[in-house]
Amino acid sequence: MNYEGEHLWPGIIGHSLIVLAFVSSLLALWAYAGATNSRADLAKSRDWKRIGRWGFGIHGLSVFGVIGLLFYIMIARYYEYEYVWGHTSDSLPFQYIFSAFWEGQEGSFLLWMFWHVVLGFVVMSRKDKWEAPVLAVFGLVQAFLTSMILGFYFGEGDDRIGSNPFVLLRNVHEAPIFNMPNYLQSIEGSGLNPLLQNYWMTIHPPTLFLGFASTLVPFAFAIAGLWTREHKAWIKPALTWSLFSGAILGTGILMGGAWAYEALSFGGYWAWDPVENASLVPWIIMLAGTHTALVARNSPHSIRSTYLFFILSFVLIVYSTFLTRSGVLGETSVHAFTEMGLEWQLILFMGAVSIWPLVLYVKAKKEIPAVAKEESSYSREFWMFVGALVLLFSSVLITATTSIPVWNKLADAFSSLLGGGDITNIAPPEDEVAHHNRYQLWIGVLIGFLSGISVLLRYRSREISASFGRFLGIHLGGVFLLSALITVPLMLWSSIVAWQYWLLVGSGIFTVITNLDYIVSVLRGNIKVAGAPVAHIGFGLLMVGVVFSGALKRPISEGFTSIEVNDINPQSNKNVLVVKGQPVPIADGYTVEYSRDWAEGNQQFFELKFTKKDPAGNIIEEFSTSPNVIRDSLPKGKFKFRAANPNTRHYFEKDIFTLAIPHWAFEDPEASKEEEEAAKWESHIIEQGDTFFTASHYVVFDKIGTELPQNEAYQFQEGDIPITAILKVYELNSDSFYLAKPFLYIRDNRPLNIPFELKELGLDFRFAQVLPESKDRMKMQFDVRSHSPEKAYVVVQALVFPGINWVWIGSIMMMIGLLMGMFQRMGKIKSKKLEI
Amino acid sequence: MKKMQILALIVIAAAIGVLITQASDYQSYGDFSVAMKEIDRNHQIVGQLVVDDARPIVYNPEKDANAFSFYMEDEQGTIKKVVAQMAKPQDFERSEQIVLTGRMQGSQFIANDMQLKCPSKYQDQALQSQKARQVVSK
Repeated sequence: MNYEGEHLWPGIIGHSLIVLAFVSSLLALWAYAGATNSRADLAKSRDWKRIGRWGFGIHGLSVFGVIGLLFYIMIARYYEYEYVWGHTSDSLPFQYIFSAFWEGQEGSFLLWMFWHVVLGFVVMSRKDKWEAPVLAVFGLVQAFLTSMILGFYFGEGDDRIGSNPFVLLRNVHEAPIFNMPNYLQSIEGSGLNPLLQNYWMTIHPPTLFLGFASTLVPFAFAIAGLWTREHKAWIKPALTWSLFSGAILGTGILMGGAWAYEALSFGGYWAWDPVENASLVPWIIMLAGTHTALVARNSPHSIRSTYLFFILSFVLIVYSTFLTRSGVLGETSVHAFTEMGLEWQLILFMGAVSIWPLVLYVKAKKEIPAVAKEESSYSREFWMFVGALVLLFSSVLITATTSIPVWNKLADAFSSLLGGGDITNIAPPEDEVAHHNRYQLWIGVLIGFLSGISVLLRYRSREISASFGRFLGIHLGGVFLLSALITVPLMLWSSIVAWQYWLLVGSGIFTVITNLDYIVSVLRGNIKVAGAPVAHIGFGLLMVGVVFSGALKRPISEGFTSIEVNDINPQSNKNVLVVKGQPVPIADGYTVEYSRDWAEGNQQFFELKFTKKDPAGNIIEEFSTSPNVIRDSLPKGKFKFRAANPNTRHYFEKDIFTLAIPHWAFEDPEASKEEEEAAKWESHIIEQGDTFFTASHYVVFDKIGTELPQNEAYQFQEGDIPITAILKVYELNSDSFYLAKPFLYIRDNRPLNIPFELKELGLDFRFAQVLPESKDRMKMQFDVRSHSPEKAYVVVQALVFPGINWVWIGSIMMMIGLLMGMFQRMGKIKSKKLEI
Repeated sequence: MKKMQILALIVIAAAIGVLITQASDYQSYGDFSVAMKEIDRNHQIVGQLVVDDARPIVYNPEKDANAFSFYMEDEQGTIKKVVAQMAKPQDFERSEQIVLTGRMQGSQFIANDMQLKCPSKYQDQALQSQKARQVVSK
């Protein structure tokens, strides 16, 4: 069949470029490996290198081309492509095209490859002896990554290598619509997940993937060191890159936390979710490597462990890719995964990047310099090494729990090899946050004390001289005393009782003060070289923030206690129902009122007014927030709920996080209720000034007015006698009232009426007839009908996070400290060059 | 022995100790019959939502915003009423699989935590509805 209106050329060119990128990455690997192996022969090596540059250059340009074409078809909304159809729609605003680009697995692989190419070009531009071995490693990794989007089918059925982003919709889905040549006229994209339609999704993935990509550089330098047997020289450039990696990957993780906190409805910045852990663990290992690399630069120790950490960090990045993209985590993570059917490709990738360095390491092990003399426990390197081991241990603990689904799969695989069935069924800890916090707390305490003590020690010091001993004694003693003087009142004030938290806050404050002391008394305030202490101060502040925001986080929206399940877990009563216009008292002296709502595009905003009163009744705090929900419009004015966006009120010492979900979100929009028409009219015959009651209101017949109704149902005609009744409708126990103005007119001697609806109360009034009693007395008949009032309520969640700003300040300081360290190292490299 | 080796031994011993303690947090997925026997501790139960006229999903925030109830069938085929201590999550009706954490209280299971596995996108369904639109417009 000839389909109309399809644009096939971008797909053909795009797929050809993917194949070219794959082939050229292999060429780069082969040629750069040749250059490395023939490094003794300068001329030969130069020829190899030239081919390698061409290979990697072509690879890079092809990757850029693929990305450009994919963007092009997405911007043009060519829905004949499955990727475009699956991730965009006509109504998707332009700024979310980026988010849509990396929402899919293929796009995020491309983003990752993009950064590898950029970093590869940076390494290439240095033109030093590391170019060949490092870019050979890049070539191998890029070949594996390109194979993930290769879309090469073989055998019968769906066996394939990689998933091609340029695949056509009609080749993926079977639907009768494709029997029509003009099917394109009647399809529209299915759009981007509304949870991902915010600016965090635009900035978080590129940063995180640059972080992922940056771990490849120290890894490649480690392989280069083993390969060329220059076991000391590689550490210098690798150290600079590892500081870059620590800063960028850390920032990417931090942005993920900020996104979860600001824009998602989880109510927190870190949930120890397997997907979060998967990027945290390589970062921790990268930092361990940074520390051992520093040791190796300043002492004869720790070369082997530096190899181990830099290799492990990238291997763990690949492992995390496997965890998050193979679908193995399905049951244990809140993040949504789509399976690509690439498990075996990812396992091969993991195998290749672990086995190659392992083989090189075993071969080179004997020549790696290691000193027989051990570090003195008075030296800084000794305690830094201990710190690196603590970080390694932290990663082992986190990974053991995160990998539970993998243990299950592995055990089942072994069991089926032996002829058995599924044997293991380990569930993750029921409260993962409490589980990880319980163990990682001690890591935090140890790192706090270690990073405090070790900065005051010196490299390579074998014993402590009398004067240095005095210095240490005064400073350590002073800092201990000062930390205790700050910690004890702070914790008493916070009313946290758990001693473990006291210890963690104490160790955090200890490292803050020691490192401040170090900047003042050792560095003499030279902030340019203060990368390490700034990062450590950041870590200390982060720990303080984590304790306060975590231990003191509490719902203030606990106004409603669930009777049925109250005795089991009262903490989970954090939702409160708030009816529009009716303030509800909640915890801590706060009152919340749902004052108004409005729509902007596909979002509906709810204004929540919070007021806090002291016991005397004076208002001491007042603020409003406007959380919103994203919805799809359905026929008959109904909506389908898509996602809720919180709105957070920021203070210096705390945040108040609020979330509101409207009543209709809990109803099935397809189920229609038609009870309203069935309600019956009820008659009341009264005189002016009399009162009658309905179920929830009383109505006073105030007077007869002469105004004509503002209602197009009535057209005045000659001879009409119009009468409007003014009714005051009071809520029981209230002085305020609503006005109802039912209208009666007599035309051709027949009484006709126009009912009056009071939507807010769910009451309809009808002025039925006038009944003359005597000459000057008249009774009137009013009919009233009540139906359920228009519901207007939201279910509100409001959480207080005390001290949350210390989390952000501390983390940002850590990243700044790492970057300062990197620039410091880069400066050193430059000044050395000048000396030569 | 060198100080470093002693330290390494201590670290390894401590590491193994902590790892074992940590692993004691792990448990197996249970089912309703186990949960009915051991009512004093929390269980994690995997199952599927069951909905029919006799087994509705009930969330009435006007009465109680912090609990909703439904029926779940565990992997052994036992069906129990579940009261979850939370507002009803989005797309709950579409969940393919539910993992509950909680314990039995009387004849109902009180869940204080719940993980849902939802189809990540409803693409085929979207394509089908587009097909329907096409038919209507003809």
